[in-house]
Amino acid sequence: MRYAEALAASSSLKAHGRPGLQALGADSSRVTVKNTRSIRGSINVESCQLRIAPRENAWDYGVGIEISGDSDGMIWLEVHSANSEHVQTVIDKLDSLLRFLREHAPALNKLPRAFVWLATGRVQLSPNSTSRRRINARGIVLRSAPLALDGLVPR
Amino acid sequence: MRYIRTVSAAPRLTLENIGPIKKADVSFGDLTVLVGPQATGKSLFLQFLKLALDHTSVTGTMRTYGLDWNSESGKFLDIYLGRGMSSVWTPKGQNKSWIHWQDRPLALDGIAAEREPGKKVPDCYVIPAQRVLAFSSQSWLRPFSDFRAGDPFVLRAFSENLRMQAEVLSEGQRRLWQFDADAGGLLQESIFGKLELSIQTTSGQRELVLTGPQARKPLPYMVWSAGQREFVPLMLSLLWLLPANGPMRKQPCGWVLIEEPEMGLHPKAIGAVLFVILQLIHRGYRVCLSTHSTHVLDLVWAIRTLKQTGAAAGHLLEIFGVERSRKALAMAKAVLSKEAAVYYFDDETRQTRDISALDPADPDPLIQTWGKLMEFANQIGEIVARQVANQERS
Repeated sequence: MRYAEALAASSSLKAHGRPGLQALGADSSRVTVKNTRSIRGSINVESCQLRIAPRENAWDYGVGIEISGDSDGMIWLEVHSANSEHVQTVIDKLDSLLRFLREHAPALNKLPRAFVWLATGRVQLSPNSTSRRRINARGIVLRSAPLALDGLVPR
Repeated sequence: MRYIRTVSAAPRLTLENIGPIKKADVSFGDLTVLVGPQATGKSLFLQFLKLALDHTSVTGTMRTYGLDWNSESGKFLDIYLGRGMSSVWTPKGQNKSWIHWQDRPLALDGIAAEREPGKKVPDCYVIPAQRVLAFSSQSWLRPFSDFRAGDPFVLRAFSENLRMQAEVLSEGQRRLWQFDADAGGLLQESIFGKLELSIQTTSGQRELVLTGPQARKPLPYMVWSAGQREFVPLMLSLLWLLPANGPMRKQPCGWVLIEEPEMGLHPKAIGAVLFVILQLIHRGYRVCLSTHSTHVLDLVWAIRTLKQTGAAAGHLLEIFGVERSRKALAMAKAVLSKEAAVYYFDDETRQTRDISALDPADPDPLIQTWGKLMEFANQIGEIVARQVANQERS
């Protein structure tokens, strides 16, 4: 399935979709991509989630990216400081995102994906720590800027 | 508080075209850690560092024990590094071997021709990887002359130093380790359990044995666990370097080089050893160690991060579960003011890389994986995360 098709099927999210990386605003400077034409669009998930459920731990962004000639994938991006005190917060945000996708964007929920915690500032989580294992076990990978978007989503 | 490494004032050793090393260029911190795959020259580098710091002591000691190399540098290396090791040195040509200490060339020929008497206490103490070989099967320590002429000098000198230490210990003396309460407690708990190291005489032969309520009879060296066998020579060295009374350090010794301090030890015991290594740094020794242990780099990373974030000294003690006594806090505070450096010995380029940043999310894979030590663990994490992220798309 294509990103545009999946986004159009979500009445909640489609108004929050933007061309290229525009939905990321200033955070777009934290990411890079080799082929800009592979970017299918971006979504400010947080603004949509907070409109529907203001007290939710909202996830930041979604980026649609071409992963092969006939299919797209999603990079779900949370820009957050990276230390052990924030591990539970980011996991709560992921849970909130997954609930939101199931209820409000089931077509986007079907696309191949990567959940990325993009660290602001220095990463203060040891690669050898239980915290790192916890986030990996929930499907999240930790990266620092500049984040290369290419190759993050499995084909 | 921004942490800035002041490399300009740091001691520096550069080796070129020596064995597997094309160019190793290391500026030392108060703690310097060398990582890298096997056979990339870490051990060789440490031996040349010892030579740069202590060549008159080395040649003097070798002559004292009747070793003779006829002032030839090749024969000298076969004795100093060990039999066959002269092949690491290329005396001339385009790929000529070089040693630069403090940015000045250090001539191997000149060292080989030295005839000065050696000092009793060298500037640099080496705890070699082969430290278990310091023990004889009689549970006692081997003198310098018990080894063959082709055995590495650093091992022979290490063993001799331990033997001299053990000779002055009294028979029946319990608790041979006189570390301070914090370090002693950590080591006792993590390595010896309820056993204690002591000296006894059996059939006229002195021996180091483990005793205690867990053992009905004294346990000689040959029945110790692998970890205990690895640790006892290391511990005796650390005891010597950390005198309980008197000066802060064993003058004039200012450098301690340790190969793989983690050898044979459980992670908890590695933590205890690292705590003692921090005490060495606190007392003013410059410590350089080689390692394959992620725990060692975990500690360096923690020290750097605590320092960068202006953390209180108590957090460093928390890592070891040590109480915040005034003495322990003073030690932790001093350690947080010291400089740490980490170098990777690259098996592809055969050069060293400064990876001191240890940023787990650095775009440079060598820094991100802490010199490939975390490569396997990272790979596992990434693959698990990818699978979990995509298992329930519905």
